[in-house]
Amino acid sequence: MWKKSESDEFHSQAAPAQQTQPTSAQRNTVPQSQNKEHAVIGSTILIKGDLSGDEDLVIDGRVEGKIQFPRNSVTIGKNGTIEADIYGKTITVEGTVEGNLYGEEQLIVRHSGTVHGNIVAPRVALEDGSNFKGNIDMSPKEKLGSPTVREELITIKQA
Amino acid sequence: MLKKGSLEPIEYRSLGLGVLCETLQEAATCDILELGPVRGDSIEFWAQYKPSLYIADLRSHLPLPVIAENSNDPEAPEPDWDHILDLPGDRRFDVILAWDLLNYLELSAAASLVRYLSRFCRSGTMFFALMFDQKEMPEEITVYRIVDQGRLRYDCGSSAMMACPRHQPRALTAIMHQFRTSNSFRLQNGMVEYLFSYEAH
Repeated sequence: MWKKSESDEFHSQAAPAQQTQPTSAQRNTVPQSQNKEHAVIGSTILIKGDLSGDEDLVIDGRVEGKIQFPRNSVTIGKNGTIEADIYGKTITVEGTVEGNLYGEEQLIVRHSGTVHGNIVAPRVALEDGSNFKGNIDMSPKEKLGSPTVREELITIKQA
Repeated sequence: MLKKGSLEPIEYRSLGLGVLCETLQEAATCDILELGPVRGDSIEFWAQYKPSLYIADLRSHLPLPVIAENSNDPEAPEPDWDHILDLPGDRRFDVILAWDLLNYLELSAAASLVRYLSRFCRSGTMFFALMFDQKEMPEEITVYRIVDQGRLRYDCGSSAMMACPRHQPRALTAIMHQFRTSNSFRLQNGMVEYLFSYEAH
């Protein structure tokens, strides 16, 4: 289901509909900018359920559920399709998202990216060719990571 | 003059944008409705105002169906703006960026659009429009990028030109519903920049 890039420490919760090992071809679709420790959801994987965790995440598959990584970067690869809200420290969209995006620090929609939903982040970059419809709020009035997720992460660390 | 058939990005001094930015610096909020295509450099520019920016690019809906010339006729069929723009009902904007969109609408359609948008305005809402005042204008709607507080750059997606409707100031003022002309600038490149201000009754 999950491909770990370097570490086995993964605390995310998911309810997968399919379980498939990523192939080398799928690994090649992962953005090269992701050098540090991160988890990868390959292009053949479908997840129906919420995801949360405390490491960087690259999604090249399909996720139908909330994605909460408020302290980490979340990258939606070119093959990635998300139908839900995404919380991340930095969020990069190269694929398709139908939902709201909450970036603590920055949000980037690459030229191949499509977003139908609202964006909340202090810094937003839309590359030429990207497809966006919705609202961009660059004056977040409150911390974006939900308290539930933060408490969950603290509990995991302590355990 | 507007470069005929040019595909090269062209930069020019925008007096209207300058006034708009000065107004925003004194404003408590910065809710912007963008009716054109948005570009990364423009978003970076607006970031200094910590805005809430709603993108409703009308390009994909052009040309709009022609509606009755008598825009005051309540029976006249109008474009389904609710569907086209999909604006949240409780939103009120401080700025509406129409760029050169009004050049590509029949006056009656433009009047209909302005009437619809007035629901989302508050007293003092600024409406920024660029009008061509030449025989021809680009066939494709132009993409404007904000360089800085006083400069715009535009990219023409195609070199094809079409006849320009040359909406006259009086006609334009007439369709602007509850807006009054706050500033207008005739530029050396053949465009006229308008800043309209909404006055709630």
